[in-house]
Amino acid sequence: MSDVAAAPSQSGTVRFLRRFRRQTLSLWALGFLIVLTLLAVFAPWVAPYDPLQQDLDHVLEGPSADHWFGTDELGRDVLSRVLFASRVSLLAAVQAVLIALAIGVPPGLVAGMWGGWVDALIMRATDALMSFPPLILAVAIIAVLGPSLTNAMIAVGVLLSPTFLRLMRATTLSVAQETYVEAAQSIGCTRGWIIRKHVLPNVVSPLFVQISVFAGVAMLAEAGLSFLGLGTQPPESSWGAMVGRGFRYIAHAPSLIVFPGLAIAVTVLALYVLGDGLRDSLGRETRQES
Amino acid sequence: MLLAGLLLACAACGPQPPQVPPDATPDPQATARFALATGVTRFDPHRATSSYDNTWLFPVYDRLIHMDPAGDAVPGLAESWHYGDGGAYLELVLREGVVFHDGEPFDARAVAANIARAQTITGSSIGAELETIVRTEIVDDHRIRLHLSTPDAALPLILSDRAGMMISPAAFDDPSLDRRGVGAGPFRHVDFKLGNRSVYERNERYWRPEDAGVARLELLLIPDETTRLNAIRSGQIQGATIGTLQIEQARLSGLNVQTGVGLEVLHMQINRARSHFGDRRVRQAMNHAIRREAIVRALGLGYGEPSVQPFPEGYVAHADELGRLYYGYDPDRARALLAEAGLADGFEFELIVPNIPAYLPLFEAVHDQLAAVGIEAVPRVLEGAQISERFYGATESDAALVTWGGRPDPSQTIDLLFTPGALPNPGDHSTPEIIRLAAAARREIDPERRAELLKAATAEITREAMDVVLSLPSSTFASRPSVQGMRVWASGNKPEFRGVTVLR
Repeated sequence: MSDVAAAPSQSGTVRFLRRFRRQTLSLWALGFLIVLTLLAVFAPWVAPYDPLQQDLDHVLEGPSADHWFGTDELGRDVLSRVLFASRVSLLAAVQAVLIALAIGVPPGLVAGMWGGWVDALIMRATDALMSFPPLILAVAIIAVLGPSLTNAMIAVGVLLSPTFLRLMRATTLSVAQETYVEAAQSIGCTRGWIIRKHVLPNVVSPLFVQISVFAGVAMLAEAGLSFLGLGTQPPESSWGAMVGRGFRYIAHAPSLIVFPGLAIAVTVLALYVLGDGLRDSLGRETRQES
Repeated sequence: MLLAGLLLACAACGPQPPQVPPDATPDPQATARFALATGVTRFDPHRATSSYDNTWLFPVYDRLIHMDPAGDAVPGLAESWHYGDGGAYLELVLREGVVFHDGEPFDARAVAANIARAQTITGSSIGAELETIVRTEIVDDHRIRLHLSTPDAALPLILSDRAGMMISPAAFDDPSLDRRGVGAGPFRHVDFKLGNRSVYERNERYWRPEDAGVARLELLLIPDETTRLNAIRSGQIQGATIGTLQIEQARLSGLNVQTGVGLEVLHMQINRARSHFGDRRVRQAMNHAIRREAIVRALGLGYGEPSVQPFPEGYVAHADELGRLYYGYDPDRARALLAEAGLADGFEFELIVPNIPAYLPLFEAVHDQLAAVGIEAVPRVLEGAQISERFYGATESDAALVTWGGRPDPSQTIDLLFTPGALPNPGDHSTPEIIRLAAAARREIDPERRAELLKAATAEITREAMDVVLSLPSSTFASRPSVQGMRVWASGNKPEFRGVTVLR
């Protein structure tokens, strides 16, 4: 291939695309997530039924030609409900990750850049936060704020933030030792300018990997909290909430938990696989390529 | 998720169905271990606050009068009773030779002392049930007259409840009475760990020895229904109350299941002094909007009885001429009634929903059916204590989706829910005719004439659409095949373990 010889002069983006293209699994995962997102966005047009339309004469039915995923305890179409719930589940994951980024990234940059007592203070606060058992902390936060999807995601965001903070700090620290940063400092560049020009471009790659993985973690956490009734509140439904409700009918209609359960499992897996692929394609160090 | 996974694993890998050899006989030395969904507040029956405490109290405390599984009054510590002087007093003839667990004799003096304590003790939860008793008269050791301010036909069945539980007078002032009961029941109370486990041993001197069918009885609190069913299947316990959704699963596991409709009422209780609920047409419209049969079939999986009356068919207070479903599902009629009431565009009201999983689909079904006729039920999800405070105490909400636990005597349910002045009737709304019939039924001591009055009162309550009854739920008890003699009681989800044996 002729472009291999030209590799050193390629831009980072092109190099990333070339490497990522070889991650077959990750491509599948990415494709799945794109399709899922499209289905979620266009759910009102794609779903065969209104997800809230009840039919008490046809409850707890298994999969059939009319209802591919069967019906729930109120005769609502499970396929339509899974499609609409994907909006809540995906949005919840995005919400939690954004909150975690907002809480974790700025102090991480500050701690890495300024060092000294600022760093010590921020890191001790993080240690304190991380010493709480995560689920207990989430339940406590929800107990204070009241059960709702947003509150549950605030809780999850807070829980995920220390990892982002540590990641940012570690990357910032290593970048800050580089000669070109020292040079920039010596000619009087401000720390803010150095963060913008030198640090941020270097932390983007590991950040993306972490975001992908944590979107999966956040989705699982949302599912768990909603299963316990602490997250999504009706009439809205998420996959976790669907499993939670369907659980009562496990002896009568196992399909009620199978389909949303599968949706959770496959989506979380896709996010992890994608994160894996991103890590292998983004890193500064060159992988052994055949 | 881990939790969910574990539960799933447990549900999937149950043990083999339990087997009982065909020649098994009751084991007099057996221990029976049962689990209940609701804990006990106190072992002092005069100050216990929940009717669900009864199940924990029944083994220890014998009552003056018993209630049979059909809901009728039958002899207990009182062998017979009759009204005298046109209902001016109720005379009880007491069983002889009965002693309390601490050796104190049971006699007329003990009964008088118990009634006095129930009426006067600070924090009594049953004083109001005994308020018609103005004086007790000890005729002889085993004969007592309860003099009444007004004839009270509900009294015999009231005495089959906590109000009729006899505490040993020697234990009245014992501060440990809240944790360890001292009565004359078929079992002695030997141990109690607050909130989770109560242990009883056979009272060898009980007047009907076969009522104590096992040597040792243990009651456990297990709030989660899945855990209860799994505990029976694994053999950790021999029986428990379960939900109707679990019946099929329990039967498939080879367990015995007793289920039946009792006196509990699942209703959307309305505060008739709020929203538009003062208008009978609005109340009738809501009754016509509900598809009760579909709700019972779908959400109770067919267990329970769709009904607009608060009493089951065949019960003394059931208004037979109106039938179970006087208000059939008829959304057109509902809309017409609303239009007549000037509410053609519908209206909105606040509906309290308990934060219990089973109530969620129920709310969604009710909400959907009301919305179809233009009525919007705005949910407010609350937990038990908050419901009492907001709906009954402060009367700050329009309606509540709740279960009425039932009372031993139908007059109690009628008076408490549908006449003014009682806590369970927020808003105090009633009609002169209902008040008249309710009072007459309470005073009428002739059983046949009383039955007529009770039916008339229920008919009037139904025609006035005083309530939006959804169904009369089933109470269900599952047990291992070795457990014999378990019955479903009219009182609803408050089983008694009299006569229950365990096969060897």
